Amino acid sequence: MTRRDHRSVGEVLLDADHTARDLLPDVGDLDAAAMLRTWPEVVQTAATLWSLLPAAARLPATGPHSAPDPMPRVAAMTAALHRGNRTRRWPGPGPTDPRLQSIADSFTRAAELIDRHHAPGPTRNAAVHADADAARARIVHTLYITCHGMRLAVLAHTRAVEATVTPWGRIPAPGGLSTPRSVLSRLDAVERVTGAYVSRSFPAALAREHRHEPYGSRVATAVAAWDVHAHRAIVANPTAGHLRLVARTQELLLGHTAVLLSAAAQAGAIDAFQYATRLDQPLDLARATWGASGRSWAQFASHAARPDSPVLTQAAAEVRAALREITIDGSTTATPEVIASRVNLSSVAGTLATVLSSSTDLAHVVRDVVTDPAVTFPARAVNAAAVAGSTNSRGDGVKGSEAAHVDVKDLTMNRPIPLTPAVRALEVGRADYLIAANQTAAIAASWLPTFTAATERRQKATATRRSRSPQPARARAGAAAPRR
Amino acid sequence: MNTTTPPADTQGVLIMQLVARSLVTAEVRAVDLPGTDAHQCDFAVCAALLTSQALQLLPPGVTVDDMTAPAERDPVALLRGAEQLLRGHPIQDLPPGTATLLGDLSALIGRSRP
Repeated sequence: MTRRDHRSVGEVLLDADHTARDLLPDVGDLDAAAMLRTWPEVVQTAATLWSLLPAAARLPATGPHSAPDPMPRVAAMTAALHRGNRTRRWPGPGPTDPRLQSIADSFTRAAELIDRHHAPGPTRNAAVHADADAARARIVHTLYITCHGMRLAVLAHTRAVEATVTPWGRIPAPGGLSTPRSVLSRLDAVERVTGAYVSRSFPAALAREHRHEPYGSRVATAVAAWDVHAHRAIVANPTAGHLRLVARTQELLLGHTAVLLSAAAQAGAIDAFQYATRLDQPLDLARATWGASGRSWAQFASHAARPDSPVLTQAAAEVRAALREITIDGSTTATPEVIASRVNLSSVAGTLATVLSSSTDLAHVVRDVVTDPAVTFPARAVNAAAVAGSTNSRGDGVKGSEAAHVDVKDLTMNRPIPLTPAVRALEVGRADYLIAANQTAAIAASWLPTFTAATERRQKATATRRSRSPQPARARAGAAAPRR
Repeated sequence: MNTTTPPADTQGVLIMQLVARSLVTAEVRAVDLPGTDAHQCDFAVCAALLTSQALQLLPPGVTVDDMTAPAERDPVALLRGAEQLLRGHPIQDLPPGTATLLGDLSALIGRSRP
């Protein structure tokens, strides 16, 4: 995630489709009136997006695969339904449905992307037409599923109204029974039109959808940039927010590293025995220590939330996106076979070998920050940490903790203050553990080939594999003994 | 000619403060999410990035330090609350960039839905 939406049209439409599918398991909780109020906007944005797609591939006039363009019909039917709804007592004015709103937002976003980047004039490129056909299939499938969910919600509403009919035939609900029954039959018609198109095109058209090939050097570039910006942010501006974002991103980075190295081991790109017996557990421990560090700094940061450096947030977002592009398939972790089909695992494993070295170095930088008396943190955060540190597991105060931890004026104004000795000792202990865990993992990874974008380029040029020994991490004597 | 800057929409600023406060709490509460460590971590990173995005939209000098943290403990419910706050106010009265924040927020909610 970044400040700007970097998703492709296909990804935006996939999100809309997923949102529509999410309606169906929740049919009992759907608000028919809210959905009906939002539906016209969904169809309107879909029609706008549809109009911007390159012209559809020519369809045979007859035969089982022929089907007319459904969008003008759906738009006209929805416009008529909307006009009718405005004069009826039900659904009437009120809140809109957030999920249908999200689908409409996705269609708007996709339309913006196409409008901004499309080439002028008609295209004869078959791949572009195939991609447009896939987009059309997704749009109509999303409308079909949404309409179906909405129809079920209206049906549930109709039944609820039927249950309220008095023995004298009086219906207390606004709009009575005739309105929802009429809406139901009109939604049936929309569902039939969209369903006909879906049965013809879905999911066959998706097979030719354009997908970006992940490029191997994206991970190397993203990891290198992250390393630089994480170091710079903590050294130049060691705020609790920066420390927590660095720790959280390191946890994420090492988690994805484990997934990729595991896939590399299964594919034979690295030594599977060495990975399983030497690296797997230390890597997971290093990840977990960054996780604990991130949670601790998040508590500090929550007492004086400030925007993080934009370059740091961009670097974190890019490293996340570069790794997820390879390790995530749909909404779950990709299988080793899928990962192997996406990237050169030898190359990526080499890049990730350097991650553990720089991870150790970052842990040292964190320790430098917590031992530096000139570095300050918000008084309320320091006080909260001191209070938490001065209570035992049952929540009782430990001996000697009765005295005030932080000056009351500092606390009231939330002024920046240095860590108290007790909090500093606690954080130094955490940092030492962080260093020890990451150093252990870096040493355990010393057998991995190191590989950089430069060596990848060299390898392509010379077709000669070159590897070099890992550079020792910045090590400090006595820092490797974990306290907890 | 009037050269003074019109005052910021105080209601819009207050809403953005509440949104930022909810996002801060959601990030801290990421540990309560069901699922794997990887899922929690990804949520926490995204929430941290969103928090930064929301805080950037506040006028200079405006913080959320004195805002009471929401009582809600479920991180996804906190995000939904933030989304509802934004959607319940005319977008033109909120700072430029809110639409992007809203899009990213909706995307994270969509991914985090169990």
